[in-house]
Amino acid sequence: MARAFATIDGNEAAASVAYRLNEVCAIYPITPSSTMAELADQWSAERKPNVWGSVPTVVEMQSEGGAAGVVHGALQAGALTTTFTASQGLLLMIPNMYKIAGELTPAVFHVAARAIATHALSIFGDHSDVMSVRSTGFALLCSSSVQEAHDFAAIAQAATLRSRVPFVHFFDGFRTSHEVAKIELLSDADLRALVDESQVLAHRKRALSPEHPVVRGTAQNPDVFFQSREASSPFHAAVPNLVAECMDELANRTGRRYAPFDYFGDPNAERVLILMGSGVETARETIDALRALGERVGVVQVHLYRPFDARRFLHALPTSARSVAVLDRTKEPGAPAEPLYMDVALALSEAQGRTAPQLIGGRYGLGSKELTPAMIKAVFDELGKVAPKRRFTVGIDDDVSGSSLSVDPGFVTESERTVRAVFFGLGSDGTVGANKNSIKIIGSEAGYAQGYFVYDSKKSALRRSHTCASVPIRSAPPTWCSGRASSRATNGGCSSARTCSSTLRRARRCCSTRRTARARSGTSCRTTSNSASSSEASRSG
Amino acid sequence: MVDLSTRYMGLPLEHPLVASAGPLTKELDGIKRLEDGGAAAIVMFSLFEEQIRHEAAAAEHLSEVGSESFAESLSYFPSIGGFQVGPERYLELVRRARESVGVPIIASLNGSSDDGWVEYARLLCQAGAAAIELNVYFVPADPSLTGANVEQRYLDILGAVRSEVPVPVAIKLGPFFSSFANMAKRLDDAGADGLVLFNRFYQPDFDLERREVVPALELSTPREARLPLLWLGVLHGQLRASLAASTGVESPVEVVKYLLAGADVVMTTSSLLRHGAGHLAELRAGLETWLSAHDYASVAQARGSMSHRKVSDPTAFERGNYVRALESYDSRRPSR
Amino acid sequence: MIDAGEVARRAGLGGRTNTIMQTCFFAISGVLPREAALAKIRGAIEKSYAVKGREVVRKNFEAVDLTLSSLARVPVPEAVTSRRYRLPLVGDHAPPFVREVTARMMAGRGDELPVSAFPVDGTYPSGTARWEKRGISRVVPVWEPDVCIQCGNCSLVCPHAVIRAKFYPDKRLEGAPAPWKSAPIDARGFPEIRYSLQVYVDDCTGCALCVEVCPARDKQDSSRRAINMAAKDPVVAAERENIQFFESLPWNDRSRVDFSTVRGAQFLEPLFEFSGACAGCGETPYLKLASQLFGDRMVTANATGCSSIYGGNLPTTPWAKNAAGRGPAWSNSLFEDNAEFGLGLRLAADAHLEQARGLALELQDLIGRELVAEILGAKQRLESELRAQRARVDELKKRLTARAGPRPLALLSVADHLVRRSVWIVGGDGWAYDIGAGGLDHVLASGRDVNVLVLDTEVYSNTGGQASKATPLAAVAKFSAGGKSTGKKDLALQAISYGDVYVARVAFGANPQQTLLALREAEAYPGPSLVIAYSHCIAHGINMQHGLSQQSLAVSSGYWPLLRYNPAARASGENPFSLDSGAPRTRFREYAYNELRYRMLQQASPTHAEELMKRAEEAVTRRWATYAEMAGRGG
Repeated sequence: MARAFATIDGNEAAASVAYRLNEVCAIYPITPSSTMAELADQWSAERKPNVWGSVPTVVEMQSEGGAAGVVHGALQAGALTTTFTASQGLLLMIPNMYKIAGELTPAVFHVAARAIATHALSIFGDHSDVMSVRSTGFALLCSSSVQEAHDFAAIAQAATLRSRVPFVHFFDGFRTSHEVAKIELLSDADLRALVDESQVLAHRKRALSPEHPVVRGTAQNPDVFFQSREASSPFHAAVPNLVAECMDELANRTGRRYAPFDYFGDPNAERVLILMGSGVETARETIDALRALGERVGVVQVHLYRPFDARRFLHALPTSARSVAVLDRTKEPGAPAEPLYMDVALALSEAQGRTAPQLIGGRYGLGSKELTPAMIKAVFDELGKVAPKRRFTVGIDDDVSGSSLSVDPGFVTESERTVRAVFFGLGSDGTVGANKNSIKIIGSEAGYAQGYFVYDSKKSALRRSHTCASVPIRSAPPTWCSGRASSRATNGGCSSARTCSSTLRRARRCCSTRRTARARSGTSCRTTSNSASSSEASRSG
Repeated sequence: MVDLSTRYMGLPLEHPLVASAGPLTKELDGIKRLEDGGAAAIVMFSLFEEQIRHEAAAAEHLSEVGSESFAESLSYFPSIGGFQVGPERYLELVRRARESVGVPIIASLNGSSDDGWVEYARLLCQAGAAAIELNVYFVPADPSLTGANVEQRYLDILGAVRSEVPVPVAIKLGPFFSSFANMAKRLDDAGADGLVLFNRFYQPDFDLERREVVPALELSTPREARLPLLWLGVLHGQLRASLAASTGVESPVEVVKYLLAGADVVMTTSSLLRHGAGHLAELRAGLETWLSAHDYASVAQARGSMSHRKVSDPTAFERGNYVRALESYDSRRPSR
Repeated sequence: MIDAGEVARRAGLGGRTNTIMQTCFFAISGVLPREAALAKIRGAIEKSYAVKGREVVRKNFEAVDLTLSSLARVPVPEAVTSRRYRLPLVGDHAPPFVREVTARMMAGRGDELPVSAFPVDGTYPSGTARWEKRGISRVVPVWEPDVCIQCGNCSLVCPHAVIRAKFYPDKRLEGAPAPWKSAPIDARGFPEIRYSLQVYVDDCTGCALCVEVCPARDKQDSSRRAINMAAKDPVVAAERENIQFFESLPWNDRSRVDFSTVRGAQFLEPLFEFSGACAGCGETPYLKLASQLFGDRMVTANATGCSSIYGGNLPTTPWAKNAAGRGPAWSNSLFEDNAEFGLGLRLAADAHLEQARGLALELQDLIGRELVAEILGAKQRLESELRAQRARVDELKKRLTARAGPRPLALLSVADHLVRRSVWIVGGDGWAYDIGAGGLDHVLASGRDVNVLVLDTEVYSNTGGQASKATPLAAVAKFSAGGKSTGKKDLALQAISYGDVYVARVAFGANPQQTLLALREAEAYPGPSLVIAYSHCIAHGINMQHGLSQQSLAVSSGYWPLLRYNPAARASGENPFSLDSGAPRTRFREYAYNELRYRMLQQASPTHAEELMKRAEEAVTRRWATYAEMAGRGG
């Protein structure tokens, strides 16, 4: 059967699966997740059915707290229920997330991960929101690309129904949620194959019903609270296997093979990075370039962050690794280290029969700060030092605490066969739309395409559109299952646009020397408008 | 200019109009209003011993009920500074009234236990009461209790309080004694500084629908002035104690009548509840007008001028008048 | 040994045995020299109770003396000599989970239970409170059949569902135990039918609300009502026997009971029983009534608070099921999200109903066209219609079970929704007025068929009486210790402003019939409904026995006007707003000053209290005028 492709953004990729696998969606707008909710609402209005033939009910609530309440209620009443959120919205859902997980209720929350407002609000991407729900009992499954956002939405739904443990399926806000890419779509048949209807019926059977009434949400005293809290442990313990099982089933149908922890790079790597999210793509591209220079480097890509399966993690990490750097896209002031680092440290410290590598950790990419191949290289360079910084930041100049690594801006990993373009637009002049169009044209006619849009916070201002196409143009479906090379050809090629042209400075410099077209739209890139005051995509009141 | 001044239990008063124990005296504001309205002295509302006991118990109970039994709600009420049950609040009001107003404050006490009468009277004195009015409210419902027992109870209470407090003590009583004049005399002998005629007994009503006993209290009317009028007239001049008329004062007419019968002071609450504290000034003006219109130079001159001993026909106060009343009633029967 | 309860009673301390037990401890423990300890206790009493008045101090002193004279030595034998064994806490007929888990918790041995004893997902069985016979009251109501007019009031107001009624053919009397009481039913044309009222004496808390509400008086002795409190010990054995017989009588056929009257409602089985609420609770009668009316179709979202604690605190819980195994399914999500949680329950039910209807149509040839048409066309408003629908759905399920295949299975999984489901969102004022206000507002604006019951105690009762926006002007509460200086939010008017929300304000103590009517109308209304229920509470500082008369005063003073706003009335051209209580005929202060929450301020700062009281009285008058105007409008 010919598989269908579409050029869509990460939000749509996730929503398209979420909508088709649920009966109720409780929504509330928050950047950068709003598109998912908007699409669900639109499809419901269009009476688009889910894979079982019923039209999901979509209801907008008065807050994410309210949306989480509806989700909890609808789940308790036996409906497959989802929601879409980010950042502050996810924080508002936390109280209900504890309940939903504590009651072993299958559900998936799709999150376009975004910074949490601290000293300032940021509508842009990092992992500080999802890191805040680590203790809720939800499983955390991370997608690194638009394709993964699509695939993992399905894996999360399948795994939650099998395990009864609810999932947060997340991907990087803007970086992935707003990235337009050509992906291979999962058909209704794929979804039905993954999500067994018997599990849907089992979920319904557990519903609160006056026909067989029970009491839930009891209050318990010190005599029993602790014991009964422990009763759900086996369910959480079973999650990694079930996720792996779902991933395998997906692979068997689609050829796209994932694991809770994926490894990419030299099988005998000495220096290894560990991270999750879109940054992995940059790391892969960098590793390719470094390996071409003979360096023994690799990256462990974390997909299933919670429950953290130390056994699988250790299995993914080459035993040859002598020094390991964990990159966290969040900041926990006062903590001994960032969360992913600590999980890795614990796994290594408890590992049997292997020599623990030297471990360092750092922060990157807060509030959508770009992560470039040069930065990845800087981390590898640090790993190569005799006495590397144990805690660092990368991507900024921290001349206060001195945490930052120095980055060589001259390091580039451009594919010769990539066409990149940067378009500058003024607010509402149609630049973004035209670029999306171009990407779709390339995607459907020429090959693999990807676009990314950099926005100002002003409602009407300068923006940049990055468009990129991989060359040579493919006429056949990519051989996803054949290994990482081809996937890299797509993802890697596109991510070079994302990374290389992520800064105006680099784009300007590169475009004349490479086969990169640069176009301008509007009068001048220096023309900025200060007319609007609030950020374009900040939370609506 | 008519001299309105009078003395009540030795307290010199500017005029004979006194605010009797009533709800207006429950707060300092009301007490001040009474003074501003023209009261020559103010009797505070009654301190009920059992009410205090009951309130203390109830407040204790109500503020504690359910407390310390459930981990989330160890109590249900805030602790409020100044929230006191027991006599403290009353005493505080007496103290503040004493400081705030110029006229004498007479505290009223309704005890229930023997100890209670004395203990609270002493406290009232310490708080600054110029005098104490004992409001002996007592319904002898026990059939084994004789009239003599009842009378002795009044005398005992008075005696006990009298010997313990330095200020004048009045006793407010009802008319229901077999020989009221004799009872008055014995109270006088026992040291009463004043007799207040009369208190109004609680006469409950029935709710026929619910078949329940319900409290019923109505304001007094001028018609009720006649019984005190009778006994004031009888007692005037026969006792050492001051006499206070209470009940049924509505207009200057009743004030004048009481004075002429022999009252040293005239007390009212009902009219003030009906017309406001300012009514006192009207009563006073009316009294003055009447006295001057009838060429009296002073209240003293008028007091008791129609008492038992002074009226030309003393039988009017006694049986003869009753016979006449019955006869005149027939003739005045309205025609239909 | 000491009978501390008796000593407390003699000393006038009511149920407070603290001083007595403290005295005992120091008297026999030898921790301090006896006299020194007693002096310290007296000092402590003086200090602790000085603020509460001289009387309290005196009584406690008395209690110390009485204790010392009442304390008796009991010799403990070297070996156990008793031949009596403790009876198991629950009988053999209890379900296994109750016997093995619940009973151990009840016995205070929950700590010994291992992890494996517990449900993995927090799901617990319904109706476990009936196994916990707490026997906490020494006085219980005793029914007098000769005086009783069978009005059902006592049964309605009973906060613990302890008073129940059944009628039955007189031939059933043959098997009745000797102490069984009955009377001919007070209805014409049924000479062979008997009526019995049963008091569950071991579950009674002794609140006496039933006695307060009883309108019947013995013709010879007006102090004797049709139900009177009496010592439990002399009657307990007989009543236990009676209860057993009472339970052997079937519950009356719901479709033969008149739901519209209090008299009729007493014959409906309560599916909320024996909760852990305070004696005399003003909230639980509403829940019990709802459970009687709709319990077998009911799903309840319960906000955290008193109602979630007496409703869902282990070991035993009051939400129960009937003989057919049906009853309210209950859950508590959080404090702040209850309305939304309830909306979720509704959305899921609606989604599944829609699926069920679609699948039934799709499979109608398989199931039978006639049955499908009947099911899809059923009205389900009256109990008889609901009963018929249940029978049809049972038949549908029977026919489906015989068929294999994913579609019939799918229909089976949602077929129960074809019986109209009643979603209730229950919580207190802290939830509805404050923390959950945004969500409640949103849910009321959703147009969905949910029923919201606000148990308004006017404070955060569960956490100990803190002020909420439901706390009235002039009342003292924690966090409003100086008296609340702003008025109570008019939640009813807020909801009415939407125009399509059914709204009622009720007070069962003032007008139980109106309460009943409002609950039924709210449930029948096919959109959002809000019932705001006056709930007297220990946090008001009242003797709970007077809860009902306080409700009456709240209504008669115009403070709590009874109203119903039924948008459905518009269809017939009527004014949706009806005022069900008369113009104020008593003063607000006459109601208020019966309660410690108002009185405290009056005593602590009379001038300020008076100022607030005047404003409160003005507010009552003003609001009444608004309501009267609204009630006077045309349709």
